[in-house]
Amino acid sequence: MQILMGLLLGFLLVCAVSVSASKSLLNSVCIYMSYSLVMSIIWILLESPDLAITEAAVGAGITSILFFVTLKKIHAIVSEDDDLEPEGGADTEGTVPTEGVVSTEKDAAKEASRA
Amino acid sequence: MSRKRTREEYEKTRSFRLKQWVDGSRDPFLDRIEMKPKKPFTEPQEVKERREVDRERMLSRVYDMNRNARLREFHRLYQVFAVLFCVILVVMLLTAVSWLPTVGAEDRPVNNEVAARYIENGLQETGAVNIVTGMILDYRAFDTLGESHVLFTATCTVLILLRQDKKRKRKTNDRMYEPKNDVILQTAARVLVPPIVIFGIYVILCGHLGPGGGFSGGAIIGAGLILYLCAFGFEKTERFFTARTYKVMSFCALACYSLSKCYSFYTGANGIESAIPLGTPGAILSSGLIFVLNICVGVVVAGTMYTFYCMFRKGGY
Amino acid sequence: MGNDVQGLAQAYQFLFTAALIFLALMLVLCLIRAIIGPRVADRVVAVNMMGTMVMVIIAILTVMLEEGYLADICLIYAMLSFLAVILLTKIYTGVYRERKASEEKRQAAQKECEQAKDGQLQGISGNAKGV
Repeated sequence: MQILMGLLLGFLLVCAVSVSASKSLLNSVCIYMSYSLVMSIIWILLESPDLAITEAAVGAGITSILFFVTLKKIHAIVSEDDDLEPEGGADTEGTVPTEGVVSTEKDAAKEASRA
Repeated sequence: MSRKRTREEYEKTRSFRLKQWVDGSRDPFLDRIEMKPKKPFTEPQEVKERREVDRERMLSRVYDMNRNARLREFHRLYQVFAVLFCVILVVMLLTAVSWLPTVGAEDRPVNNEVAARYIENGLQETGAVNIVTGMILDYRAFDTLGESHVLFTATCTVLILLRQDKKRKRKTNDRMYEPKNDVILQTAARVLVPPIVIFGIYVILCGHLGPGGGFSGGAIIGAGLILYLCAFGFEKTERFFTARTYKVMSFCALACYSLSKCYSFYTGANGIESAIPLGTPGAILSSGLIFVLNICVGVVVAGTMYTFYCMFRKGGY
Repeated sequence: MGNDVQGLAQAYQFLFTAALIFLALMLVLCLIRAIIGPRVADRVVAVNMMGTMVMVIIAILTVMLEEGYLADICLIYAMLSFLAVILLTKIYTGVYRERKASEEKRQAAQKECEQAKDGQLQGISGNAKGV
């Protein structure tokens, strides 16, 4: 039991650090959802089933779903290229601009290469 | 009689020239007054040097990483000091936590007579097998009333910020490119949404017998409604759940909660025994008012969750 | 489980504990994939798998601690993680399709531009020849 608790707490630490350190907001929200999943197990191990049920319903349901919809509304979901190069993909994933900015940069690059 | 004039004739008259002078489109002194010959523009050397020095100064203070060397240095120092500060804060907090008493030790001020009273007499006085539900909906029901009002305030805020006028329709639809009317999802939703709603109702009603209660049950019912909406679209969902439904639902639930609490305050303040029977512990219709309060809270939470989702997606329903 | 035989109860406890620790290790591996995964699809699948593994962990805990109400949490997770993944894929598909449509529009507009330019050049040269 102690080993299990230690493993799960280590999981939580890694989750917490990577939520703040990741560059894309969609990534942060997905990892936040997994944080809530493991939190629910820890509530059971600490003998509070009420908290476990509430964490399940609120964490997986309310927080994650509403965060996804918020990200869509503020246009923070940047879709990736088909032919994914690691550096090119990292550049476009790293910024949080609107869709228009990303496409006009590519457009300018295309025109520059054409002319 | 008078006749209409052409534009060229009009431009030679005095009234046109007066109008031009009043408007300022023609300079009245040009071609009429002798003017000094124009000198070429030369800057004295000091003015030019001062202008260039000022420009250099401005560029060195501009908030741009590429040009401002001081800003770059500050940014690097800031990163180092931010990490140091976080580490120091974490170490301080962890040390403070390690000085806290161990959980459940007997001689600590937390384990006083209030907690003992709740645990020993909880089942008798509230009738709820689940002591936690008994506490939040019977001993401390006023706090839960405050929380329901907080939910209500949050919904009002979201409505103020995100609602869109029906008259002023948006030109582009947020959801134009999303996949719609997927057959697999619709079949799955037809099979899944009824059990989800029933399970949510079960969790609400059995709040005093096992873990669960109003909040989690309401969240589950809200999730079921959202699944129905995802699968079938807004038009079909608005057949049975509109904004008016939500307003009626949440108003009735909050009013019912407040009235029940008024009854409890009245009997408690005047020392009268409340007439609501506590029932046998372990049965569903037991624990007096907790049953009713669970249902009220569950209804509010379900409606609120669905409302938030609709506000975020469409701005109104 | 196996309460009447002493050795059997201990064996069951050992089995459950070993299964739990193994599943927790797998959870950590899934988390690594969710953090690294370059595409969004990697992350979505990793989070879904983590949800399923958490469900299994809670089911094992239900049997180990012998408390039946913990199975309700399993049901909640089954329903809600399904809904979250569906929503995320719907939103992401919408974003992807929108970007494709705008790129196609831009390419079509560029082609029209070029055709118009070619047409103008031919028209001018035609006029020059005619004159």
